[in-house]
Amino acid sequence: MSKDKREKDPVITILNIIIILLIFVILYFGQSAFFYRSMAEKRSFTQDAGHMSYELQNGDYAGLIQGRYVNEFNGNNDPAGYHALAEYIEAASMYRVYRDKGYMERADREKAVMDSSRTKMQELSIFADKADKMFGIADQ
Amino acid sequence: METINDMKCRYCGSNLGIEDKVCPYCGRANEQAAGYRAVMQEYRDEYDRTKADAKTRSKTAGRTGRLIVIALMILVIIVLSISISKNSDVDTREKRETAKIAKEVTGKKDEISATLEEMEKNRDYLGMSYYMLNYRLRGDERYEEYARVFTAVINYRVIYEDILNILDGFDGYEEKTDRDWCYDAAIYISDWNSYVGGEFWNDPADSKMHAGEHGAFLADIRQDTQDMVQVYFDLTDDQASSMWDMDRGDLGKMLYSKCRDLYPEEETYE
Repeated sequence: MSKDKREKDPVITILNIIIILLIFVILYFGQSAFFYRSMAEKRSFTQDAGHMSYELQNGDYAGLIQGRYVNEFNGNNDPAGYHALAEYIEAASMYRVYRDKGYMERADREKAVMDSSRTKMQELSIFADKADKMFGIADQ
Repeated sequence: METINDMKCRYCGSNLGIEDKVCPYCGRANEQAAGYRAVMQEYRDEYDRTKADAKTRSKTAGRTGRLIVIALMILVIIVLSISISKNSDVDTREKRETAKIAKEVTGKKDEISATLEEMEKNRDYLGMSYYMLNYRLRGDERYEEYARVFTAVINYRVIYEDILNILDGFDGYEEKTDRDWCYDAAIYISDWNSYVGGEFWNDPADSKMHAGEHGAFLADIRQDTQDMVQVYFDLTDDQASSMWDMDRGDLGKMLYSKCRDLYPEEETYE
């Protein structure tokens, strides 16, 4: 009897191996399907905080500004700090133009936006300081 | 009455066991238990047959069960593969998204029109450029009237981004240099009259695309673009006002020349 128990059907052994292999294949395909599915559901041009951080590290301020606009159009306000920084950079770039051209009313409006967004960006304010130097308005 | 347990040899009278085929003492056949043995043998044979059958059935059931599991797993893999191929192809995804957005734009037509009007009134150039991109409004016949305004905000955005990229030293993820950004800006400035002004499209003088608020917007965005380029490239008033009519190569050369002096590429803003 115990000898019978030990006797394995080679076909069943092969099928068991196939099942184990298929489990790995399903895990791989499942992961890929989930990844592509989440990509498909995501609106083009929207950005999460990770993406915006990547752009910031690469000095892609234009990408950051685009990300903020498109996120807001699609109701995504999660990367609030990055949005505030993007808003700051845009306002600072315009402030420099209006200041140099002597359009003081418009310059003041941009300055107000800069001041307001600075309070929302927390630890990212070091990038706002960097932007000030970049736009030549650090002495303001 | 003699029972099967106190069986005795009918020849010598010795005690016999139920399983004894012959008497262990006299060696004569144990005829009394023959029937029992035959029945027992039949039971044993039946037991062996049932056991063998059960083993075969169990083996078959094990194989069938596993084959069913494998078939189901393959089915799951096929379903996942279809899902992957549907969602991984960029063109398919783009088409699906475009269709979804077109439906959304139709549903929010009034809201989108009001937003565009507001953005145009506020001279929100970048906002309008990204709003148009988000809802794929360029080329949408329903917003035909905004065609030149849309082109203007695109040109403005590209020039603005080129300037930003020069200032922050960004390489566009493809090793672009300040020279590339300067010449790119020059293209969009020198194309302005053709594409925004409407020369390229042969826009009639009374075109709705240049009338009313659109016309005022186009004049303002042109001036604001000029101011932006003038400030960031340190152009004289004459240089700034004449940039629109310059050859794109000459303009690119002039912008790059200014750029090299103003923004040496090795400079960082740490």
